[in-house]
Amino acid sequence: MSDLAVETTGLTKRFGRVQAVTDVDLRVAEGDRYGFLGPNGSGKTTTVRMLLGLVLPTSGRVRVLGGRVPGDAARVLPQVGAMVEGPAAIGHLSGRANLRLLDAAVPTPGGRRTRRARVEAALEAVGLAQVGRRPVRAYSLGMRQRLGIASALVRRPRLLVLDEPTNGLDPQGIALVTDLLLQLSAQGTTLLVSSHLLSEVEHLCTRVGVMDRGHLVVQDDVDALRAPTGRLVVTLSGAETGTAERVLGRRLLEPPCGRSLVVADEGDVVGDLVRGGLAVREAVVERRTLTDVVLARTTAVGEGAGVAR
Amino acid sequence: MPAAPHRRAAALRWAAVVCGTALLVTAALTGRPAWSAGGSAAPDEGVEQVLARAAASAGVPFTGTATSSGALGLPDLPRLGDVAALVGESTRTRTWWASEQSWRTDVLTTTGERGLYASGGQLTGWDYERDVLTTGAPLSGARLPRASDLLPPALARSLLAGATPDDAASRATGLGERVVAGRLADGVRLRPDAQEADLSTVDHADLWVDRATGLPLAVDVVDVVGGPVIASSFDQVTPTSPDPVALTVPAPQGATVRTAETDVAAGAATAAPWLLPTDLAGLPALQDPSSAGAVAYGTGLLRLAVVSLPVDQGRQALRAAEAAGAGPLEPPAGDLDLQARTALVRAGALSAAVVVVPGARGDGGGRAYLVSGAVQPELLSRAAAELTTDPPERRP
Amino acid sequence: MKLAALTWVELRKLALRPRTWVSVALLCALPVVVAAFLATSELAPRPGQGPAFLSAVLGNGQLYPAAALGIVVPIFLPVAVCVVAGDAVAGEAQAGTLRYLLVRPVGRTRLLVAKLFAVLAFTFGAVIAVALVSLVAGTQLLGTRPDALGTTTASLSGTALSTQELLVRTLLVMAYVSVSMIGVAALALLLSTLVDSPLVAALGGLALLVASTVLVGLDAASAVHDLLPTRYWLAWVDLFRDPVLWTDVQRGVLVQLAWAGVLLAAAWASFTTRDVTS
Repeated sequence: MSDLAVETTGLTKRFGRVQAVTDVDLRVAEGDRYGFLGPNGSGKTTTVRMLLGLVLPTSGRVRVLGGRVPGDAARVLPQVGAMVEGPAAIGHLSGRANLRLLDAAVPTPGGRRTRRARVEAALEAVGLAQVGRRPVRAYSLGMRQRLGIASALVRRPRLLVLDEPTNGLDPQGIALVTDLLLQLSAQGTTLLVSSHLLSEVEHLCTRVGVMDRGHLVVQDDVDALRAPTGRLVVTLSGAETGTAERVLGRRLLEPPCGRSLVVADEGDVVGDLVRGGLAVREAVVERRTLTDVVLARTTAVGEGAGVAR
Repeated sequence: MPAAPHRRAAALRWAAVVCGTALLVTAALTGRPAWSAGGSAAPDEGVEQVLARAAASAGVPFTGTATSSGALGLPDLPRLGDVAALVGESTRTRTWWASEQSWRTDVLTTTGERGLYASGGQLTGWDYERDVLTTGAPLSGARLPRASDLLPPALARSLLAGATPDDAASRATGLGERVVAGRLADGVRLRPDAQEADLSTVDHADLWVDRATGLPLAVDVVDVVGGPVIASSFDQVTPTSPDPVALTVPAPQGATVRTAETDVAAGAATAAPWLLPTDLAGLPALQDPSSAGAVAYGTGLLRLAVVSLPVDQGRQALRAAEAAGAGPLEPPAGDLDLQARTALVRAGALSAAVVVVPGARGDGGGRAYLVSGAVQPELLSRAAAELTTDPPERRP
Repeated sequence: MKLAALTWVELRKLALRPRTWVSVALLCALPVVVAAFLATSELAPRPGQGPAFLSAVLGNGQLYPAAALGIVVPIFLPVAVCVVAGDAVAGEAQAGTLRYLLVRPVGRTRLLVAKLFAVLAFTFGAVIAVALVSLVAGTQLLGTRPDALGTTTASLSGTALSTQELLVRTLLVMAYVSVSMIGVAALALLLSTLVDSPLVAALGGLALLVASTVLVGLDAASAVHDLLPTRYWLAWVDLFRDPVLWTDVQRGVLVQLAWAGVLLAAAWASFTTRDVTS
């Protein structure tokens, strides 16, 4: 009875004395493109593993697509495609053979007849259809990454859980995967993408959750997080900064720098400038970046951990 | 916070595994329970009846496997056959016993099999690894111990041979009941009497006799320091007539066929010209000395085996024993010097002496004897002195 | 149905793996080498020494499959089986493919059973390969001993065995030898679920083999002899006695099943309740 694709309640995991995840309440609605952020070691991967029934929670509950994990895993996980902590495949077999074996491991009614077609479609989707019989051993890092995504796609999942999907991909690969994910999302697939690349998530996701030291410190819509800061960045065609200072008065927040002005977003700033005889090339509403949000909400970065911008 | 459901499931699973394992190990260690034991004929039989049935068990047919082990390290003398292995190591046998005249005992090894077939008054031996069939050995008469002598019934009967059942019963105590090879058995402990006890190295012998059939199922002979002398017990036994097919002497194609090699004792019986006495060191002979060159003397649990050797073989054995560090026998108290060269070998409970009497009387050479038993050396000295001093009769 | 599909997948994985065939080839090579030396030198081991049957197979190659199995049973076969069983789960964990199987989702119990079936199939397949190769090697290199009566060879008890009886007994030996491997295979499989290194799991299985062999040879440990997994390994020889001596063969099968039961139950309890973090 839930329209939440993923719901965790008080999810906690201890490995011996190490508290990996503490009291996490994750909410991913159906149709979301959910970005799961956090520095390395923040508990992202452990949480994802708990969602998939690989790691059993110390306490708390997990519901995925309306079923409990691990209790109803056999029912719900067939509708989930996943890539956890990098792709893995049998090195001496081709990508195609790997996908067929993996698909055959859990038979579904009628699945056998459509297996070839589904495997080909998944390979096609990630651009691996032409690779042929080459063993996975001989694949580049990017090809392996694509194969990992393809393997998550074979079952045409309702929920796609991807850990660092663009890791190791070249720019074309990143574009291909991003397009693919947007396309799948448009078809109704819920995405849960964990990443430490904020720009990627910012571009792709509608909603983010940020983990820090085992706690979920932020969970909100991207639009809400990226609310305007109340500042306007104006670029003039010429360098008549003196005139601009006069027109804007105290609305000018910082001393002008070249043709660029930082202005409080009050009243009709552009209109006033134009009426003052200035040519405005560009005026942009300043928004917080996800990086700002994450850095503001996560604790100081320890050695070895960090968030790339 | 309450434990997650899968944690309880995990605990349950482990508990089930541990309990199952514990049950399995208990079952394996306690072995087959007593209720599987056959027979319940006479629960309160006296020791006397038990011994009488054991002594008369030669006619009880059976099929079974048995393990015997001895702690008697014999020196490896030539032509002793596999006696040293029989009394010094562990031997696994498989036997089909129809009667004393018709039986088969296989010595089982991990790489082959040595079979003995008794049929038609003859003994046929089969050695798989040598691919040799040995025919024509007499079933009775003088011989060295063989695997079939160490079967629990045969061993028990030979222990009881030195005394009448009444006599044996007077020195026996009941040991209660026990399950041997899945069958209910009554235990009897035999001890040497006071007089024998000074001379014997055996402290006691325990017999376990099948309640249903009287077949001895296990025998343990223990020496005075508590170590095993010889032990034999069935691993598995069925007291029914064996399948006659199993008793058929094989005729393997391509195998070498030999006639029986004369072992020391059988050879001695024909080669040694001297008769052994009917009494030795106060012990009666258990076989007729006129038919054999090897005679066991004894009462109760005391056993002394004497083999009359050809004199040059005796000298060889003497030299071999001396080379192995054996010293001479001490002369018996209050007696004359031993008029013979002797060498005493002791191994655990076993004492053995080679006695060579020089041929001083000009009647065609000396005499030589091998005297052995689970006895104190003093008894060997007495026996040696008697053999040396009493001039024997020539064999007719 | 689901188990059958998964077992089939596991068998295919095994068959598509070059290492499987290399180990089977090595297993088969040893008896061939032994046969070649026997055929050229005609020197059989002395009685009581060396592997069983080697003196009997000179000039009688049809007995050689059993002798060849006797050669590979003490070390080579268990090593090969331990490597495969140790790799079963730990190998997937090390390669990272375990998590993808489990999220498919493949039930953990089912995966364990399918892996066990694959290990058993490997064992029996290897045994069959050794038997077939050594039959060819035996008859070609050592020759046959045909005769008018149609009997070809003697049992350990000296009685003649017809070709058919020989075949049946050889098949029984193959089955028994396969079953004998279950104990060490189960331990390697258990360890395979506990550690993420296939090597450690395989070595654990071999450690049991070595420990059991040492204890079987130690009189002081006679109290536990009958429980040791290698205790009845050589009982396959009893299948060539006449009449067949079943006692040790039966006990050997029971001991193997008991070890397998305990170890596989532990493997199940551990694997179904542990965190997969590889």
